[in-house]
Amino acid sequence: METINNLLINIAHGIRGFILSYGATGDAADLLMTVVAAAILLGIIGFVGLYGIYAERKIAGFFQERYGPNRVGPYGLLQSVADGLKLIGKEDLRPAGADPWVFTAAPYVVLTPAVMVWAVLPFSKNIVAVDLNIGILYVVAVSSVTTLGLLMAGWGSNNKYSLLGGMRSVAQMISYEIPLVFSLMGVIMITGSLNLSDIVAAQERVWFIVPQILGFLVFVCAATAELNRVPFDLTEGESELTAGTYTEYSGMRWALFFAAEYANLFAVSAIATTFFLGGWQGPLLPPYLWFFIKTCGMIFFFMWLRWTLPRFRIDQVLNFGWKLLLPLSIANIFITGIGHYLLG
Amino acid sequence: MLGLGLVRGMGRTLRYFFSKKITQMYPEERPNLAPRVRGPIKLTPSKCIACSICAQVCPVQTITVTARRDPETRKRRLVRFSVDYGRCIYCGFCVENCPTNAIVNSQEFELATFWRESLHRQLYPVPAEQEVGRTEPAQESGVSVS
Repeated sequence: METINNLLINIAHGIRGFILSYGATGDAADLLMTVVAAAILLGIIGFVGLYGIYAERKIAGFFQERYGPNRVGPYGLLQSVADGLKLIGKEDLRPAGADPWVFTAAPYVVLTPAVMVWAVLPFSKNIVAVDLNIGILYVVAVSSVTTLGLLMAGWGSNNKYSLLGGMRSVAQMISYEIPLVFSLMGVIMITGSLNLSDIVAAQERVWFIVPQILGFLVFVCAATAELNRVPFDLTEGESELTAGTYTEYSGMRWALFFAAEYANLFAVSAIATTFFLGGWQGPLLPPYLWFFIKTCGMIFFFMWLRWTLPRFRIDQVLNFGWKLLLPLSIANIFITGIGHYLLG
Repeated sequence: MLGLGLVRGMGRTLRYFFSKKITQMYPEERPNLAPRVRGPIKLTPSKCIACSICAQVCPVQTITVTARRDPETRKRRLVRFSVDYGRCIYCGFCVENCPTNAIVNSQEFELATFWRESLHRQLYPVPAEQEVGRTEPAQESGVSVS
């Protein structure tokens, strides 16, 4: 059992020993290990990007009594690979009136924070790329940069739909950032730490979803809005804005936006798992598997929401965010504070 | 109660998630066409009396019947029967008007070909390789008795 639980850690030690055996000093080996970790994370992100889209299409199909992609490879498993190859082969199009630098940089500005968030995710006990003591602050700060990327895409495209989508994304994402952070505050108050590993360790007896159910609900709503997913996908809003911010994008740049969307989806689900669902804690199965199962469950829940609910109007989105979620999250902090004072 | 509709809606979609798929896996699974579907026409040459009513009622003149009088019995006999499916509008007039029910609608529906001429099919006598090769150019429509 111990062997399976520590399998990944032992592999990491093995790689480190391998590097050391070639005469590297301890510091150099640590540096190389960081590079290895980054490469592995990027690989996982690429995998999640491809199979997140596959899962979305498959689950969408199932909700509509269809099969979803099922032709390329067994069960359509290679569909995303084929789509990716097609997107790579596409012409690099840029509208004549677009701002070349802003237009070109926008997909990277959206993708980079999505990748950076992954650095602090605690995949298992002692498996985390950077065990930052201000982990959640880092996550919130980095992920808010995404808004800038979407606004850049909207502005740089020189297209009315894109600009409207970009403006909507700013209005929406900045509004929902506040309840998002406040909903996490309850957990931080109980744990007394911003470190994600400490937060997971504090949930050994009971998951925080039990005392923090209100915080969890607010978090799910605000996270859906932050991800720009249905029912909060006003940035894209096909029926009103063609494809909103993404209207003028095609080929690989568009693929980067999509990869960022699914990397973010995984990261947000992982944070929900870490904060409310006990992270990698669980019986029998190895911890990294528990983390993966819970995160996939959260992803399924987000997809389930997406294929159930219709899109909000922009005024409804802002009303919901400012008049319902914000007071609820503040109330949650208040209740948690009282409970903490009385019990702790 | 606020939010009850949300929960109920989520339950409804989850039921659909686990329900049986209604997709027909077409190339593997053959579609079940209605018995009276007006598919491309099929000829039973033994029943045909070469009256060429079908060619006359055809609104788009897509049927060509070539007949010959038998020198002994003095009866018309079918020499050739060809249809241009590319022009056929699937109205079914020929089927309705055939006095001997020699023409019926078939259940076939996969008519896609690489050449327009391939849609010009000779139903009698049936050429050896009709699907693959180009058949001879379309004949003048109508009746021709020789």
